[in-house]
Amino acid sequence: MKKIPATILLAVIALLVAVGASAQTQTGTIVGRVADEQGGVLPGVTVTLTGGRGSLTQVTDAKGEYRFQGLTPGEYEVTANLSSFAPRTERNLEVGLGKVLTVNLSLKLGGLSETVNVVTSSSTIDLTSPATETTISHDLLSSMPLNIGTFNTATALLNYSPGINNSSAFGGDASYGNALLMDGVDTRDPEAGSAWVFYNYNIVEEMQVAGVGAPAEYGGFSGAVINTITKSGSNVSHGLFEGRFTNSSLAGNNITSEQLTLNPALGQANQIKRLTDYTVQLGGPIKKDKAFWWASIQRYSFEQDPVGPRTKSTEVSPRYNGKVTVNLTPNDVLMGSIQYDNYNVTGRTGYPGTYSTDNQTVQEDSPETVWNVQYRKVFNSTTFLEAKVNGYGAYYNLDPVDHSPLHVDNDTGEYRGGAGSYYYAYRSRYQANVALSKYAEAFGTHNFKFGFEIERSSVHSQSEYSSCGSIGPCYFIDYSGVPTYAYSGLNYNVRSQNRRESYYAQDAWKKGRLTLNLGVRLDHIRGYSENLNKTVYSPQLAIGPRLGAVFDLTGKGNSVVRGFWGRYYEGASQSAFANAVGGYEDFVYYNVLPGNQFEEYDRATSLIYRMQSDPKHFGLNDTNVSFEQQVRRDMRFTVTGIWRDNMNFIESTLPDARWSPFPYVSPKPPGPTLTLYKWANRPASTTGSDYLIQNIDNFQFLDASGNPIAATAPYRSYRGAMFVLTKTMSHNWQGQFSYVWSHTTGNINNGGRSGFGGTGYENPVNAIVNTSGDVSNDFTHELKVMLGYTVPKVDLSINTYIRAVSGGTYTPVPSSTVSSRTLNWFSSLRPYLEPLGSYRYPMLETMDLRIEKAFRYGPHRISAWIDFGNLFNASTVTGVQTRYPNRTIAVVGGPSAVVLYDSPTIVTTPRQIMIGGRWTF
Amino acid sequence: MKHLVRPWRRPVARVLVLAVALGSAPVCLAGQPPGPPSSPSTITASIDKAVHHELGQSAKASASPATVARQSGANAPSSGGSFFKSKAGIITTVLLAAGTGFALYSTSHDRVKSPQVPYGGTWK
Repeated sequence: MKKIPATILLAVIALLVAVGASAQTQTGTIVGRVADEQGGVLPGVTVTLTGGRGSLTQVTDAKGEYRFQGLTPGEYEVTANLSSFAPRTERNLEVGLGKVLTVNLSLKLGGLSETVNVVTSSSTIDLTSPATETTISHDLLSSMPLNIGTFNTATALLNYSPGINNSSAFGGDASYGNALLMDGVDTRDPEAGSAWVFYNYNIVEEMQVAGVGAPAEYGGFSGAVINTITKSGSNVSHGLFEGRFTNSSLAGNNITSEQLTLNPALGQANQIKRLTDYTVQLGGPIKKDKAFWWASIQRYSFEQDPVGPRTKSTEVSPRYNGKVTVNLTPNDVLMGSIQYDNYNVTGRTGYPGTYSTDNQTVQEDSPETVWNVQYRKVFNSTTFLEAKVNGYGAYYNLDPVDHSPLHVDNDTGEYRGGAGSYYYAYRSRYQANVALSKYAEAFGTHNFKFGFEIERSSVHSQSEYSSCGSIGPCYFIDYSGVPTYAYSGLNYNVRSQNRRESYYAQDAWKKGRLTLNLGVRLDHIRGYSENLNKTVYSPQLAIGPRLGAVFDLTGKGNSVVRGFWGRYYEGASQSAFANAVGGYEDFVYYNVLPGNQFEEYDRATSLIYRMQSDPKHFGLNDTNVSFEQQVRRDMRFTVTGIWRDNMNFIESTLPDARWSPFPYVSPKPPGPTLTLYKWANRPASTTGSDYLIQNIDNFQFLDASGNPIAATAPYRSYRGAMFVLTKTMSHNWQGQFSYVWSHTTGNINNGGRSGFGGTGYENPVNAIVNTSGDVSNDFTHELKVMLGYTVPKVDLSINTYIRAVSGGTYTPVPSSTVSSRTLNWFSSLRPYLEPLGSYRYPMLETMDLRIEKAFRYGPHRISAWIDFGNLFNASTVTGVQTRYPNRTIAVVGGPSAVVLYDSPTIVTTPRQIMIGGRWTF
Repeated sequence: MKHLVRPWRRPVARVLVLAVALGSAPVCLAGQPPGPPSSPSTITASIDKAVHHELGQSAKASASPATVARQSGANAPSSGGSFFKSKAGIITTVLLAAGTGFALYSTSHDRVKSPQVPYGGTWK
C-alpha cells in the first residue's frame, strides 16, 4: 500500500484525560490503548513517541496498551504503525508536570496514513489523585501581568494561587512554611525555611503549586509546595529576548492627604524610581537527538523610594543559567544545570525595620550558586528510575552604612544612630534523591513510587553590634533622648548542620472507578552543632501517613469526589534548635553614667539551652474533601473543604520558673486591667540549663505556689472552603476564578517562624496574655480572577488580574514598655492590650492589566506590551502604627513626627505602568 | 468521528480542504461516546487554529517542536549549526553577546562588596 502523506486537520476536541499523580518528579507520562475501528484491542502495534529531543518506540502489549514514562514536560506526538492498518499520528500532545496523559488511538484497515492535530482542551480532571493543585504554565507566566514591580522571587508567584496570601498558605507560617523547589533543589534557607534562591520567571517551563492532599513524596512543609521545572534545550533552536522598563514618571502617588496628615513619614511611600530588566535566552541541539543545551542571562535592576523614612533602596541582580541534557540512550537521560547570580542591595532596612532612616540601612552582598545533576532511566514501560544530586552554596552579608551604635528610645519609639550591627550568613545545601516508579496490575492497577532522600545543609551565622567604645559592641536604650542603658554582647558566631534522611512509599491503586491513594513518609531529622561538636536536636522519627480516595461518580471521567487525610512535617531547620547550638557571647547590662562612663549591673551568661531528648517534630494534620466537575470541554469547577491543625509546637521554656501575677492598667480605653507576671524566683544568674527547648503541648506556667496559672494548650487551626472555576483558552479567552472563605485561629501566630523554635514561651506575658484569637495572616474572604482575551485577527491580547482580599489582623500594644525591673525579666516587654487579632486591615482591592500586541513571522513572535499595576491606584492601608497611644517616627527633611495609634505606616504600592517587549521563537 | 482525506499539495488548496473538513467534523471527546457536532463558534476557533498551524504558524509563542521539525522554508528555526548561519541566528548571536557582555560588566561594576568574604563557610 502506497503511503500518501496527507495532513488532516480535524475540528476534534480530544479530551485528553490527565490522570495524574501529583509528584515531586519533574516528568510526565503518556499512556494509551490502540484499537481497531470496532474497538478490538491491537497488540503488537509499534508506537513511536516524538518530542523535542528525539523519539522513543514501544510495542503495545496483549491489551493493546502502551506507556511512556519519564518524559520532560512539553509537546509530543504519537504515531501508531501496524501492517495492514493505516498509520495514525496525533500531534500537539501536551505533557504536564507530574501528569499522566491518556491518548487512545483507533486504526483503520488499509487506506492512507492519517495525522490528527489535536486541539487540546487541556482542561482535564485528575481521576486518581486526591490533591488540589494549581499549575502555572510558562504561557500564563508570560501573558498575565504577574511580574509587575519588584517581582523577583518565586514566593511572589505563590500569592497568585487560591488560598495563599502574604506567602501564608492555608494558615501556615508566612514565608517560612512553604517548600520551594527548583528542578528538585530545595532552595530555602536551612536556618528557618524562608526563600533563599531567587530566579527569573523566564526560565520557568512550568510551575506547580501543591500542598492540599499532597502524596508521600512531598514533605518538609507546613504550608504549600512550589514545584518548578526550568526550560531545556531541544532539537529545534528556541530563543527568548525580553526587556521591560518603568520609572517614576510612570508611577502614581496614592498617599492621600488624610494619610499624610496622620503619618508625615509616609511621604512618597514605596515608589518605584526605575526598573530595568532584560533576559537573553537560547537553547538548541548539540547533536540531534543526543545532546542539547540551553542558557539564559538576565540583568535585573531596581531602584525605589521605600516606605517610611528611607529615601532610596536599590537592587541589581545579574543572573546566569545553563543546562545540558544528554540522551545516553533513548531510555537514559542525564541532565546537568547550574545557576549563578549575585544579589546586590543598598538601602535595605536594618534593625528598626520600616522606621529605618537612610543612616540605619545596610548593604547586602549575596552571591549564590545552584547546581543540579539528574539521571533518568526507563527500564521498560512499567518501571522508571530518577536520581538527583543537587544543592547550592551561598553567602549573604549585611554591612551597615553607618557604623555608629544604635539608640532605641523607649519613651518616644524613635531610633537614632546607625543600623546597629552587621550580619553575615553562609549557607549550603546538598541533597540526593532516588525514586523508583513502578506500574503493576493486580486487583486493579497500581502506580507505586518508592523514594529515598538525603539532605545535609549547613548554617553559619555571625553578627556583632557596632562599637560603643570602651565596652565594645553594644546598643543604647534611651529615655526621651537620654542614653540610659547600654546592652552589650549577645554577639554570635553560630555554626550548625541539618541532617535528614527521608523514605517514602506510595501507591495509587485504581479499581474500577475508585482509586485509593495510600502512602507513608518517614523523616529522620537531626540538628548538629559544630560549635559543640555534637547532635543537639534529635526528634522522634516523623511518620507521615497519607490516605486518600478518589471516586469517578459517572464513570465518564467528568465528575469526581475526593477525600484525604494526611500528616505533614516541617523540613529540617535550625530554628527548632538554634538556642542549643552555642556560639553566643554573654549579654551584659550597663548603666550609662555621665561622661560616657558605663557601670555593669547585670550579666546573662552565654546560654546554651537544653533540648528535650526526643521531641516530636513540628507538623500538621490535613483533612480535605473536594468535588470536581468538568462543566465543558474547556471548563472545570472545583470546591474543596480544608481542615488543618498544627501540632508539636516547639518553643524554649523556663520550666522551673515561678510567676507572681500583678495588675496592669491598660493605657488604651476602655481597656480592662490585665494580669501580667513577674518572675518570682529568678536566680542571681541564669544558666543554659535553666532553659529547655521542648514541645509545649502540655507545658504550664506555675505561680509561686506551684499551681498552674492558666491553660496554655498551644493551637493554630485553619478552616477553609475553596471554589475554583478554570477555563482554558478557547473562543479567544481563558481565565481562572477563585473564591476562598477561611478562618485561621490560634495562640501561636503565623506572622513568622512562631511555634517552631521561638522564645515566646519563656515568659507568660508573651505566651498567654491576650495571645489567643485571629492570627495575623487570617484572610476571611479572598477573590482572585485571572482573565485573558485575545482580539482575533489583530492579535491583541488583554489580560487582567483582579484581587479582593480581606485584610489581615493586628493587635495594639502600649507605647511605653513594662520595664524589665517591674517584670524581673531581662528586657522590657509590650503585652497585647486586647486579644490577638482584635482589629483588621481594610479589604485590599486591586486590578492589574496587560495590553499586548503581537506580530508573527513564521515561528517568530514579536510582541510589545504595557502593564498597569494597581490600575485604579488603590490606596489601601496594609500596615498601621500599633503602639498606643503614639510613637515618634523620623521624617526625612523635617522634625520627627508623633504618629498616633492606628495611623497608616504602609500603603499598598501605587499604580505603576511598565512597558516591555519580547521576541520568541 | 468524521474526517476527510485529500492528497492535496498546494497549501492554499490544503487550507480550503481543512476548512471544509473542520466544518463537517463533529466534536469528539476521547473516552466518551461521539457527541453531537460542535457549536459553530467552537469549529470556527478550531479552523483558525488549524489554518494557522497548517501555514506553519502556531497559536503558542513557540511552535510545536515535532511539527516544526517537518517544516521547510527559510523562516523555520533550523536546528544545529545551520541556525547560526541564518538571519535569525545572527541576530540572536548579537543579542546574546550584548546581553551577556553587559551582565558580566554589571557583575563587576554593580557589586556591593562586603569587607568580609567567607571561604568554606568561615569569614576571614
